[in-house]
Amino acid sequence: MKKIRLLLFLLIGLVIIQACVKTADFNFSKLTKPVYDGEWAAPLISSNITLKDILKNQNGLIQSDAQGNLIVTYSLKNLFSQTAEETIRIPNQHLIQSTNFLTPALGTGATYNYSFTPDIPLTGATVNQQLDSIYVKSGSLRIQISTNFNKTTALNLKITSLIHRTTHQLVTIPQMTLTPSAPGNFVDIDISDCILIMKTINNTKNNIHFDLGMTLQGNTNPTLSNYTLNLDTQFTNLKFSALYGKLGNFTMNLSNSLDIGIFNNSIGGAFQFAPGAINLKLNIDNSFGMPVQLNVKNFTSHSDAATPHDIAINLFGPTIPNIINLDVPTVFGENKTTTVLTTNSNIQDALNTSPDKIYFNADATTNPLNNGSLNFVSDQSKINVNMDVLMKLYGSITNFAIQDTLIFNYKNLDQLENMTFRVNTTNGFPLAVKLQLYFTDDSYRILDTMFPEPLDYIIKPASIGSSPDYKVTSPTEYQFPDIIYDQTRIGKIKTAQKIILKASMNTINNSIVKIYETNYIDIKLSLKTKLKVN
Amino acid sequence: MKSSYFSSIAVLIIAMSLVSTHLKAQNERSLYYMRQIPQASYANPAFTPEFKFYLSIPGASSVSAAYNNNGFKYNDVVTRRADDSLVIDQHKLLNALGASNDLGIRVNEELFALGFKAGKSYISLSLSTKAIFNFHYTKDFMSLLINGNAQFIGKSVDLSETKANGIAYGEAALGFARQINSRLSVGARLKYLYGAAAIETQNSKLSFSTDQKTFALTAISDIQVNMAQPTNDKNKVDMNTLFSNPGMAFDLGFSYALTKRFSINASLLDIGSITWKKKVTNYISTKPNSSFTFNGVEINDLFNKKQTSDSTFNHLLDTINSKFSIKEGHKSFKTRLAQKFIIGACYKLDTNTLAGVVIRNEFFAGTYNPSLTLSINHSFGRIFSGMISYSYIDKNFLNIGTGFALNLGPLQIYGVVDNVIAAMQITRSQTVNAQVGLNFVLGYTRKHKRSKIPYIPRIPPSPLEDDLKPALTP
Repeated sequence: MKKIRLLLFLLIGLVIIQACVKTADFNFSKLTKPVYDGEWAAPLISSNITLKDILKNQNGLIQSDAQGNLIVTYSLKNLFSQTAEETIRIPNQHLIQSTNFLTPALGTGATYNYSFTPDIPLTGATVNQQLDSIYVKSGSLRIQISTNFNKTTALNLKITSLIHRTTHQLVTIPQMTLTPSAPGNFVDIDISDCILIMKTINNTKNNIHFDLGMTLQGNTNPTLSNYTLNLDTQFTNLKFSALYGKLGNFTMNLSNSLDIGIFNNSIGGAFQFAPGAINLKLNIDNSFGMPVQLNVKNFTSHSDAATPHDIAINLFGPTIPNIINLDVPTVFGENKTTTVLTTNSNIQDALNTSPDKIYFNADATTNPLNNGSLNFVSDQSKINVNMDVLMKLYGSITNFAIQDTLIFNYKNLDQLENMTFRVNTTNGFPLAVKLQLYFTDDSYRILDTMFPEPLDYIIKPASIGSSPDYKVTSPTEYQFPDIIYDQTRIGKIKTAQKIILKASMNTINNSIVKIYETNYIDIKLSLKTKLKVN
Repeated sequence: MKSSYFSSIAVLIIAMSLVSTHLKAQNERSLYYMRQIPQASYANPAFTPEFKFYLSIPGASSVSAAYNNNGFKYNDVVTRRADDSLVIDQHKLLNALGASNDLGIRVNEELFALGFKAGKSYISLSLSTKAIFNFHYTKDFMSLLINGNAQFIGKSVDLSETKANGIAYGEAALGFARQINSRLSVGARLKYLYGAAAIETQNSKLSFSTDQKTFALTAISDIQVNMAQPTNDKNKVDMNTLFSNPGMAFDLGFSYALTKRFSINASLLDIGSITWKKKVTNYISTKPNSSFTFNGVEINDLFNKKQTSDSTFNHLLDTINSKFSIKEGHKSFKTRLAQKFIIGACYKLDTNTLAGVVIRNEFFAGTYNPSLTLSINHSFGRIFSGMISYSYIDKNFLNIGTGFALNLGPLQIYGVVDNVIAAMQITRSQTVNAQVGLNFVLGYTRKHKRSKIPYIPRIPPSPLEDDLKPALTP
């Protein structure tokens, strides 16, 4: 009986347990993916920005004056001309002089001496170039003799115009020997570190004097009625370390452009600099030992956004050409600097168009007056132009607009139910800013505009004191109304690839302000978003 | 460092679960007076099994598991809809939570056990793996995770109570029980421990607030979390360092017969600790109680044209991590085991029936879990014995337990649960535990007599039993 009760007890227990556990409650193959829908709020951006921070990635040098007023300097540094070596090129030379002479009968044992002393003119870099001397940096000279001699002959050559640079001794030329079977010969001379001295003889410029002595030895060959000798002189790859003489006219071009980074992203509006806010300084170095004139043929500012796009910059006033006669070194190796500080230029007008570039194109011409003065140059003589544009941030701004494009590749937007952006600013700049963000696809087709239009100021200007300092008296705190992205708006920007950021700025009542190094803006961008993550 | 911290915790929990491949837990409540089962002596080392010899071997030994969760039930999280599909309902879960909540898991696997009687003494040996994990959290903490911080804009949330503590270890135990006289039995068990993995939240002061105007996040933290994780550089379990942290512990117990039928008994279990030396990582606040505010990243960093959204997000995380300033260290630390203090009393209703009461107190990582169990044990002959119990466990009054031991020759099969209702209504249960096992037993020491003479079982040892027998024998 007890066993039956036991079995019943067990059986009932098992049935109860089995009945109460519903397998459907644990059929996890039918578990749907849970959706996480938490709502999170977090700060995204917190930046305390000065103008130095904003401009740190552009090419201008940011400094401040004694009062702390910011100055941005854009510099065109080391715009070099060609060097004298590149400009004045002495061509390879192939100069031939001949002589004929008679000798008495030259039987065996007899000798005959003869001298040939020609002045051979060197061809200069230009037709009119009259050289006094060439300090040869490198080059070679080949002396080649060809004759109809049937006598053995010893040749001794001296070039009295060719001396060693350091010892000032004549360059020694090896003796040449001619034989009846080899009536020609040559010798190669390395003339590096030598000085070639030239003379003008009977209005023939650049003469080099040769002194060729020869001794003919008699033999059993018959004595000819006329002996002929050709002296063939070849200068090859002649490079100078210095040139002296009347070096003539040469023209060198100097061309470049200067980026004005602060206006690189400008797309319109006016940035009017106050009088005296802009300075232009040109420093031109000259190491040519001769008069040089710099003719700035093209000196313009260019703005894509403003019209006219190009403004010609006149350094010395309207209608006066931009011609600068450079100071000339008086001692070899000297460098003279010519400084041009404009007082009558229209550089301010040019910069008021917010140009992103200034173009500079000039020709430097040597001996512009052809006055025949004596010149000198080293191989490295050159012109070097340095230009500084100094912009004191002092003026008024009217709807000055900049634009930039940012990459937008946030791919998980479909996991957001909504987004609320909040912008808090504390502005210590005397500028008010309107901002618009355009979400676009790859083809820049606008999918959504972030801020409601017409645009209101997202950043309100700080209050400033009176002239002449225009200093900020109190920063302005402002919280822009929350920007809400619901499902519809999030759907629009899901496929966005880029954000075009447009900002336009104004000074208070378009009046003049000064930007100081202490001016700052504190921007805080925050996001509250409800998620819907599977 | 922060992400490393969370991933380390995840790996650690996985490592803990690997230690015990089968869920099991020591059941010191309902099992306490089931003296036919040798493993009952684990609840009180003074208890001697009713067999002269027993053996448990790997693959056929005792396994147990316990799960307690006073925060929510299964059907608070998983809801079955009309079409039988299941859905996880986070908000229902949140509504179910109390202000403070605990989630605990205890698992235990006996790899080998051996016991034999030697005169008036009983000697036992055992080898087992154990794991205990407890997660204490507040409703605010879960609310922050589930609903986000938008609900707390302009407010501060105190998350200081959030703590995770757990240890997984191996245990080699040598037990000794002796009947001192006809009334008193005592026992002790010495344990050598091999720590495998641990997480200890030594300090978890943390408050979190969101600024109403800018949503700036401010946290005040003083955190120290110690971990030992037997993992290699690739976050895989490293078998070379598994069980390489030493520790010692002991159990003590006694049983005393006050009258013929009434006995009292008590035990202290798992008094000891493990020193964690290998693969230790400590995460410590470098500036305790300092306030860290995250206001956002620099505008140039967020809108850098060369950066992708991923790198921007990573940069954001790095910035947050650096703000919260948690240092990583590698100093050894010590954790105590889950120490238990059990007191009980039993009354023999007749020869085959024993009524008992057990008060079990567990202390682990600063938490105290008391329970009270009332049980009736009855032998249905020599082959089968059963048990029914009622327990108050972890603020839950509805725990009806049951258990059995079935002796088929030398093979003993047994099973015990503290909460059979949980098994019947698993979706509504917050406490579930079970212990099942198989022993080879020899030498049954209690002679079962088919008579009307009240049988007084030797559990606890009854000093007066022998005296009673002659008088009551017909």
